[in-house]
Amino acid sequence: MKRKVILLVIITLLSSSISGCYDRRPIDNLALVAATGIDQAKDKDKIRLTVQIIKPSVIKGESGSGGTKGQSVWVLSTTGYTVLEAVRKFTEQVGRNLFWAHNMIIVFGEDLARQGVNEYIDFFNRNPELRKRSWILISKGVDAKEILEAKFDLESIPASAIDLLVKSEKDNAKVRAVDLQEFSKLLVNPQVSPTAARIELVAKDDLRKKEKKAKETGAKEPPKRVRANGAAIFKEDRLVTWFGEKEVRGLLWVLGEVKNSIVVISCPDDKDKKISLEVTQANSKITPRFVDGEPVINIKIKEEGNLGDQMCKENLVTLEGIEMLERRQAAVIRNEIRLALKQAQEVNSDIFRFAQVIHRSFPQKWKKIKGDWDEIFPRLQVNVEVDSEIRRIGLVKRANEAK
Amino acid sequence: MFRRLINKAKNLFSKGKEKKHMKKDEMQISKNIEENYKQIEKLFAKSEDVTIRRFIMGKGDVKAFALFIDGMINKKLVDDDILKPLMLSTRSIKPSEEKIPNVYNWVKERVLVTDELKETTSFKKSVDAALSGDAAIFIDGYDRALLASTRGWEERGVQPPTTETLIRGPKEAFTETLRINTSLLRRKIKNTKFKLESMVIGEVTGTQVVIGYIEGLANPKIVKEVKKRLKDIEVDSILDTGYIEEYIEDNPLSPLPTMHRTERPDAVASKLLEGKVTILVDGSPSALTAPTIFMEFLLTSADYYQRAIFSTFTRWLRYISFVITLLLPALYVAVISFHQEMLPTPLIITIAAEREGVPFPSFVEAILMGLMFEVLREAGTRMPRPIGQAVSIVGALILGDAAVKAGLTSTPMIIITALTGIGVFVIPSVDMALTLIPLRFLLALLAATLGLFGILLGMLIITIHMASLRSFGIPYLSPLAPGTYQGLKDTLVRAPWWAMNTRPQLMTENEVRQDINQKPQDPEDNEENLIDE
Repeated sequence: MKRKVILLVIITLLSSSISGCYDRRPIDNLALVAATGIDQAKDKDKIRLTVQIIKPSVIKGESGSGGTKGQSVWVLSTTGYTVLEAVRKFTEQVGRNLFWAHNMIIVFGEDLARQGVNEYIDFFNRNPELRKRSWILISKGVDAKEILEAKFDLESIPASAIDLLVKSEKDNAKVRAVDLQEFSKLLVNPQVSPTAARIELVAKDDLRKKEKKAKETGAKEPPKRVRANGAAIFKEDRLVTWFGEKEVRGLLWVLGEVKNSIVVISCPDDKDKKISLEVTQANSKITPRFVDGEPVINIKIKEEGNLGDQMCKENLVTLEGIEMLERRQAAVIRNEIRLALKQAQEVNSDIFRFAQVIHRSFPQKWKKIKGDWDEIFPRLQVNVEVDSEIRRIGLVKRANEAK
Repeated sequence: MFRRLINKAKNLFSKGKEKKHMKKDEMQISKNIEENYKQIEKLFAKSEDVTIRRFIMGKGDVKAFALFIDGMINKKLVDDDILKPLMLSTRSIKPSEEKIPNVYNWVKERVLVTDELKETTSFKKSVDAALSGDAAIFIDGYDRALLASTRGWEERGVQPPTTETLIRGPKEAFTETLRINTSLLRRKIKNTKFKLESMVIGEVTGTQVVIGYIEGLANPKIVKEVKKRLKDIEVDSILDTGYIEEYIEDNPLSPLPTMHRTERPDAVASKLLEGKVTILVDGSPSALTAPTIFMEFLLTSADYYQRAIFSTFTRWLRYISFVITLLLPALYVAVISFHQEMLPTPLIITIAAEREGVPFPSFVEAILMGLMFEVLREAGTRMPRPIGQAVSIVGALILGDAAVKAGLTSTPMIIITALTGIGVFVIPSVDMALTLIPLRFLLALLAATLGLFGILLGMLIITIHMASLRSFGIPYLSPLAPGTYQGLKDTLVRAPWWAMNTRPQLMTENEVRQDINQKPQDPEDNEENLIDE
């Protein structure tokens, strides 16, 4: 008995060395990828994969005292027919294993997005290292690589700066932020068209001019700045159009994802003066109906908010005043939704999940119209009803009059 | 092949087994005093501290001598209470009377004025008595010796505890003298049911060992078992309770201690009141208590003196630091070599930056730094006090800081080593704290080979082992497993005293500790207590 126990202990201890640290990846052999970009390569069949690799020692040096500061990240690209092929090519340049768990954003270039992204998203879903919380961004007008090369003053890692940017713009209802998880779900759902965040370089033309000038004079390259707002609208897996700031909020109203935003309306007497209303709560309800065998969609938005500030001098804190504000606010919201609807119907992209709602409410009828949905959606009748309420008006009744 | 190796090892060990008993001296005391004298001189040859004082009693020629050991007796007592009466007051015996009735009884009953007086016919017993500080008196013509208690030697007084210091609670610790130690306990438990049974263990040292328990509270089976195990010890020497512990513990090869050692009389008293048994050894300032459960090692007596809420908090602090000190290096090694995705991005960047340029794998780093800390700790305990401060400066500032600057290790590793090294000492029992150190290295090894899965395996092994342990029949993990609601009151929390109505089940014979409804009441609820205004 005792001998058996001793034998067992020896075998256990020896067997722990057999594994030989299988699967061990020392942290100093990893290249931490913060951002990924995919563009079309010059060779039309291939893609160009760009990664932003964090340089930990530089970042540590920055937080410490002085010292020479290089770039805190390393942006480099490879090409390949598939994503994995391109990823493996990085070993030629990097010498460490790429580590994907801390990837924060995945950027698709516009050219590639217009041809379809489905083939390239597979790698990111399949790889166990990747977190499904990476933002999916579509770069407008520029290559994804240029977005990854942009610099930020406050954050040492550009990818985390973009991450913060997307999050804060999402809170302001200025961008349709979609992460890898949601984007993949949208891609496989036949009843919804995918959407993703739009990302672009700020004042592109202006910066390009400066860049040229800088190159001519040999001066330092001016930093590129990026802006995340709007939305990229897909039909199946192909980019078809862009949504601006107004349209994207229209989309978000319908999806019920406006959490905190500002609605600006004009003063009743003076069109130049404005009143801003702060949205605190909003939800939407989409109900389908069938009129003469044709589907009709009713969207009801319930919105609550506060009076944020006003430029005009009237006392609007009266029953009539408040009602007027609510009416105007509802009109603005309705208009935004109309804009979004119009544009989506133009490109025949059902980003509002109308098909899904009809399917759920009228499964039998849906089966009949299912095949014709592509013809029905562009001319679909949609009624928008907005119920706007102003809850709080702040500490003053009317704005102070300057003497 | 293993069998041969094991047999060889067995042979090696069994050689020591051949008993080299001291020849037992069953000699009786002779009637002839000269013979006794010669025998004793022979026994104590070359022992310069032995005194044999010869004298003559009465007016006649009744020869006698007293045997005692200088330094172990109270000289004044021997001079005034033994020699003086024997030599002076026996003068009144008339020669004619000297044979009747008999001198021996007369001396025993009327002359010797010491409080404690025994008699023996065994030569060995009289010598043993002399060796432990009594005076043995031999009288010519009688085959018996009188043993008068004259013990008195230089001893350390009762001092505050050195390893188990508390903020609240009694500030006295056991000392090396058995009698003082038993008196410290007796002073706390003034009850006839508190029994102290004595036995002598160690053929060369002849050490007195005392078993203490409270009749009616202690489980008689456990008391019997403790006595049996003590009786089974056949060894030449017992110098400390540590010897006894190793001879009677249940699982001698387990890294975990199954008997609790303390230097605080109040801790022993509280355990006696829970129905446990204590073992005191002459010459050792610490007492053993049994049976012992795992949780005892994480509790201190201060838990019971401080307010219940605060005690619960500190208790949990101790539980957490127990886990930290056992697992932190292993977790760190596992996470940074296998599971980097578990770390938040800013943290992994910091760690990666720190690790850059460190030549060793994180496991080697953990072992190196851990060993370095253990060396410093061990050195700290051996170091003469005036040098101690220099060591801590070298250890803390120079070694730690310089190791990072020299690129031998990374800063996170220093933090982890320091935290685990210090965390050990939150555990009140030194025995348990030292046990954790090898376990910690073992877990780090498992973590380095198998990652978090390895840690899980290691913890499973440890937990299964702990669940299989018994201390004098009591499951080691009780009252958690097997769990009892009453037991949890003193484990997960420290319930207020008025809520702890029972003694630990399993251990004690009498579970009821107090009446229920001891919670202090608002005097206004009780009309009798209303004070007239």
